[in-house]
Amino acid sequence: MVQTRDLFENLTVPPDAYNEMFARDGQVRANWLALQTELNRVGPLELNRRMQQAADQIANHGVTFNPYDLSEGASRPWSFDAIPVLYTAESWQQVAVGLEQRARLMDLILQDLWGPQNLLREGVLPPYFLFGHPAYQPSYHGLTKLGHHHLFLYAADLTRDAQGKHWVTGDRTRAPFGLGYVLENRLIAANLMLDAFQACRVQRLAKFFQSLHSTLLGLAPTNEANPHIAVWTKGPGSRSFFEDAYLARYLGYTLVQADDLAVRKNQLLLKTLGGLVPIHVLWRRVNDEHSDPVELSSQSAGGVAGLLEVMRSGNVVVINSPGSRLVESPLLSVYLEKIAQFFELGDLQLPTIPTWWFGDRPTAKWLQMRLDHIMIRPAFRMDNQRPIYPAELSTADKQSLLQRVLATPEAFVAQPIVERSTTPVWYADQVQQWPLALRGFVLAGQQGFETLPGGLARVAYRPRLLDQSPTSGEKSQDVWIQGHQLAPAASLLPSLTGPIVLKRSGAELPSRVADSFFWLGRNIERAEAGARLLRVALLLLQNEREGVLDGSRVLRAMAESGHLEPDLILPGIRETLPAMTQSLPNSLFESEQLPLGFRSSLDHVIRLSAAVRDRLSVDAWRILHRLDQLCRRPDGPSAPDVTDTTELLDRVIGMMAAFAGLVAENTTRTLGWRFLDIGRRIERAMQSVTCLDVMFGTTTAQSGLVIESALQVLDSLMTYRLRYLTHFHPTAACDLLLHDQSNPRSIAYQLDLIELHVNHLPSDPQTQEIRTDQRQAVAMKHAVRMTDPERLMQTRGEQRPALRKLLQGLEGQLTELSQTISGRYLVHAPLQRHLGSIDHTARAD
Amino acid sequence: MKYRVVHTTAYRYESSISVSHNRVILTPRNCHWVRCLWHRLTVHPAPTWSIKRHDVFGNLVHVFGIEEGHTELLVTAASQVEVLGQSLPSLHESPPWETLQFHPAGPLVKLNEEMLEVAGFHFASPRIPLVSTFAEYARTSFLPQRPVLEAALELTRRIHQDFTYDPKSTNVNTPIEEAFALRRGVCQDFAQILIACLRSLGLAARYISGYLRTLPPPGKERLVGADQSHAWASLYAGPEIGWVDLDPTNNDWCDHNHVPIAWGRDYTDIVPFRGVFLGDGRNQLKVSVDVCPVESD
Repeated sequence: MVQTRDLFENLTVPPDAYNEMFARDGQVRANWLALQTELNRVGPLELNRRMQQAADQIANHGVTFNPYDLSEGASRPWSFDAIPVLYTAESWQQVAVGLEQRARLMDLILQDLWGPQNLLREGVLPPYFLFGHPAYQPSYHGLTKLGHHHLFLYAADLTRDAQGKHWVTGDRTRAPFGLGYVLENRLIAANLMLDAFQACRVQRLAKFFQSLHSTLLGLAPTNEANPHIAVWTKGPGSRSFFEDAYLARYLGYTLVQADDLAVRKNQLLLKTLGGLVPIHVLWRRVNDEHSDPVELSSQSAGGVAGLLEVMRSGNVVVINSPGSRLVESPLLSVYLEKIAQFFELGDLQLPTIPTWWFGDRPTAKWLQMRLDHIMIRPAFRMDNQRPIYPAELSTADKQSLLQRVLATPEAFVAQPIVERSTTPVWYADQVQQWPLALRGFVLAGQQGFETLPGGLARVAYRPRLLDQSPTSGEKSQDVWIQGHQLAPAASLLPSLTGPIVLKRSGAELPSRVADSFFWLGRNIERAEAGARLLRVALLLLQNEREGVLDGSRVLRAMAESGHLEPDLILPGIRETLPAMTQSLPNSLFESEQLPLGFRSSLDHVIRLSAAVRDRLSVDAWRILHRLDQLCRRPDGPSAPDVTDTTELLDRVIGMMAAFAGLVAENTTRTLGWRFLDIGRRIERAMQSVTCLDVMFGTTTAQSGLVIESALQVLDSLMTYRLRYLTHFHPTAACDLLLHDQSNPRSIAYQLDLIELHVNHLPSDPQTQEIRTDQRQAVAMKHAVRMTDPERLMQTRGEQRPALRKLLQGLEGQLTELSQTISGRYLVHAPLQRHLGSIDHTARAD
Repeated sequence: MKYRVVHTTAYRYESSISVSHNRVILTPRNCHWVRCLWHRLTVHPAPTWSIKRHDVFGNLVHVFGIEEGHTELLVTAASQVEVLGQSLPSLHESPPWETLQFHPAGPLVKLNEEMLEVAGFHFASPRIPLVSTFAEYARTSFLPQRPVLEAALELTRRIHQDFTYDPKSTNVNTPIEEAFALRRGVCQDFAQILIACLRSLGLAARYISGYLRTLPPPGKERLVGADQSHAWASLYAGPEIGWVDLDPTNNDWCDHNHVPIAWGRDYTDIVPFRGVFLGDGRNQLKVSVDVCPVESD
């Protein structure tokens, strides 16, 4: 039995801050004892192992802001820490009461300012607060019916002073960030620390999300049996995309972007392959001012034209309603206490840290005296502006800051530097005490206001790091509220009461999603083709057949299909270029020079899969994520070598096969899957066409080796050997690769599948005509089937004219089919354009 | 003075437009010196749906969608208005301008309906930033204790004098700082510069869009459709006097030739015609305004 070490034994607790775990006398707070015991039982080695496990899990799930971002150091907001923050039910209850009071208050303020404006009439709040806000928009008035909530989801950032009292450092009322990460943290923590989790009797999060769901359902304007709720994300380019997708999937909502939405007859609709489908509740995760280009910023192309009018008519409920960002302004804190009294909500249970407005005090002298003990913030919160700490500035910078503040004092507020409690963190094989920032969430639900029993905890070695934004900090922890939850261990959504309408169809696929699936299919296939070509080329190199390779058609096939720079195969230039042993492995990682090459295609795959992430299985996503990680140019000065790259390619091709297998076996046969497969089949046929043309189009120096290579590239060597052993004959090879419908790699096989898929695409019910895409698919299939393999391979000089004619025809037809499908199904969303309002000539005196 | 106003806006698209969302503000607005007797808005092709409502400033807004293919859009706003003209007090009797100054952080007071409305026109708005250059320019006219209307009229005349009317120098999106530096522009620029000057001194000012009846040169016939959309500024001169309209482009108070449509903080709040269409391509715009005097019965 190994002697267990007390992980907390040599711990120094900073004396001037409240500590979450230890009381002032050094005693562990009672509610932390179970966790302490459990951590000591687990021990450092096991703890490290589990942390590694968590890191892997997070990496796999792509807990990052930019799953699509392929630049170096793809950002992840924080690493995960296995030690949670603990609250007893009683102490959390106090926080919850304060949070709910604030949420109620913020909602009342919004209802008032965008409605009757009694706060201004009665002189409780200066008009500057509303009309001076840089993002004030007259259009936000009257968007919701009187007495209806503006604010459904509210978050507050909390801190604790030395006495352990809670303070709010910021309010978030637009689309509070973090709920998705709270869920993710919980999944990992509960799994990682299962024994401790059970011992601590942690309250579950699921009930909050159930309330959220039933609240949103209740908001549906009509008595819909199946209200349609959508999460509106800015898209995979945005910082919150992971969360948007995560929440949408968790709650079973449709994840939409602006291009998926349309307004017709003053109704909000989702563009799907099956037509336009109404949306009843829109959970907005985009900026207020980008909601509607007709009424708001006409400069930005984003947004849904006409949305605000739909809201005014009560035909859709948007949460939180546009204009809700108003109450995020730090300036509000100056008046909050009085406002609470005005609305008869009593004293603030959870106050904001002291806030001074420069608008109403003799600024210069006041500032000079306190400059080193405060932070300065804009009075209105526009985006994630960091606070300024004058103490950290040089004398010159201090002066210019002073001037800026004095020029428009009303635009700034000052706050004391935030005091933070410390909490245990597992870092560098030991427990340390780090400053903590906690974000709590409140729902304005059907049953009243409800606080999430948990939160987003961020910790950082340097406390100021935590002030900057909700994503700043070094680590994130789960927050455990212990005991006394009345609700049974609720299972996750959707498992709600009431009957359910069973669904089988998938016609409600947004056109944009279908588009992403189609191009995902094309790009993954293109990447695979590139990998196979390169692997064959490298094998030839390794077999010391460089002499053969020089003239080899494999390189030409690579160049023709965009996987290799064409310069590399020109005779003459070859000598001046780096040897093939360098340039070939390099081509795998090259994206700038090779926009159609392997790495570029993989980049597209990652971007597109991010866009349809809510519809890909976690396993499929994981494979793509690993592929992405694996295929980055190795660090260091030494170029990737042939052996390493070949090994890498073996793994890559294996993973791609795994992805294809998952798609084949685990994907429901919805339209999404169909578009993915159409994309894949079209691309595979195109790649094969190019390859066959290069390998068999001419007979010059056509050896058994060339034929063998072609079979290898198109993954049909095994089948060929079974039939013909090592007798490499062009006609036999061409028959297998072109005509053989039983070979899943042959062109004929792809064309059969394309026809099958195309026949399943939705038609206009009004007409019974055969569509263009159907005709094109049939024409190609017949073109191949009607040719005789022997005659195709007839030569004239060194050419095979019949074969080349067929292949060139196919190439054109495949391109046309791709365009027809895009035009008919995918590009549903023509660009929105603005009418030039009174323009240069019309405007006048 | 009674006028019949016909304002037509015609868009022609190169290729068919499947959907367009439009929001127009083209109905003349009542105020103490103008009465709108009747108004009719016609849209061709007929809108698929439409809504009429007032915005937060009280302007009448028409919102409509056209959801079938069209290659042209024709909007005609016809109305009959009676313009009584502003009745102004003698300038030196208006209050000293400082008494109307507003401080963002002034003491909190109760606001009546009018004060609340005025409060919305004190601050920077999307097209009108408040920078010190405007205040400096204005101060020459706003000497201590000077009656506000006297100072405002002088400022209006200075803008008329210092600025050159030049439709080629600016466009609808030119920032006013740029027009100010150029000392050139058109009515929209001049109105917004005047507003910026007034607001930067702490006064409340709003932007007015409307029409101006143009008089034909002596001896010539009046040309139908040659009148123009116009813009000017309005200053709040205290509860006694109320809002007073100033036209820096024409060097004076607004008179019987001005027909207001709407007011807001600046151009962006009351763009006469705002729309988004789905479809490809360029469009041609043709606007004509006719302000025709009607014989009184």
